[in-house]
Amino acid sequence: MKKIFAALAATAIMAFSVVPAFASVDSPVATTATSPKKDNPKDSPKTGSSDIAVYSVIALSLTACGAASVALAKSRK
Amino acid sequence: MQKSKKGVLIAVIVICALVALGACGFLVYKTINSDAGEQTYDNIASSFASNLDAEKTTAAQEETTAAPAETKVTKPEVDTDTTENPVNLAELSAMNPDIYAWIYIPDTNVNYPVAQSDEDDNFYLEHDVYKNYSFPGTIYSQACNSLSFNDRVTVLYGHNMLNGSMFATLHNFSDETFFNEHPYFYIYTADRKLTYEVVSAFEYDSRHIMNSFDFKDDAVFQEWLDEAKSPRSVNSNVRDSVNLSLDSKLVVLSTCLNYGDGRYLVQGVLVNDEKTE
Repeated sequence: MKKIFAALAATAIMAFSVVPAFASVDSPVATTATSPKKDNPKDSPKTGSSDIAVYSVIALSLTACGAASVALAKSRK
Repeated sequence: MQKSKKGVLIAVIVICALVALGACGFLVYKTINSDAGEQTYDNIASSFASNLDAEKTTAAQEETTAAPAETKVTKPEVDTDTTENPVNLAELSAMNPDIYAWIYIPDTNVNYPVAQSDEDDNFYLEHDVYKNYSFPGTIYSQACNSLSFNDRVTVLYGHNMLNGSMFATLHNFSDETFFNEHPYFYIYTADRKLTYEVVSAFEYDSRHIMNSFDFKDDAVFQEWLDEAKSPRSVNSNVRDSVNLSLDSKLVVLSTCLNYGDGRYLVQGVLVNDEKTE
């Protein structure tokens, strides 16, 4: 059980570390880039402010949490 | 076996609750960061562009006296008389050398410095003028555009922020009355005041404009000008009185739509180029 928690906690920490807001600008990874990074894609930069992905994560988590709680309650009867 | 199943269920509940909590925390962080960004730009505007208030009054007068019915030639008028520059770009550039202009659109929240990074084209998509990570970012152009606004087409990008900051209020131009009553926007460089007349505002696809069109080619540029005057978009407003030519210099203001994957574009053509001191 402890191993499962440890693995999940490690995954969560890794997931947050790739979000730019939580990544340190002074990290060695960020400073090793030496060549200029030019934007040359087919798509225009995404300048939206949509939080749909975050709200979806919240909704899915709460749904899974609710379903697990119901299953746990039933198993105790 | 039963005990193990209960343990898994408890683990799922805890993890899901943590993920939901983390996502909520992210939203709170984003909101706080966005509001802080707005405050930063308010402070910058009051510190470096406080003289713009007087210009705003002049701009309002110009707009009320504008004669939209008349067809105008869009070859920019070069004014040799110098006027005072209301934006202290020298100090702004000393603070961050990437800042090279200031954009102001009357009756919108657009009153911001413009930056261009020579290291990463999209650096200012998520960094403020102090180069700190920021959701609102900065209004910016990419290295494919010169800093002089002398290109046939210059594209400026800004976020469509939920709190109405950055380029969110560009969407005001989707209202026909607002579009008709606000014909101009202004860009200040260190030594010039550039007046742009809004040609059209419309929804466009997500194509990267500068990478998709070679505007040095007259035929391609003419095609773009034609589309600017008659966009293939349901939600569009066009100022018919403006006459575009191959000598026109356009600035395209680009932001995301409130829904979907497209972009909302406001296009202006240079109509007056004044020297400032």
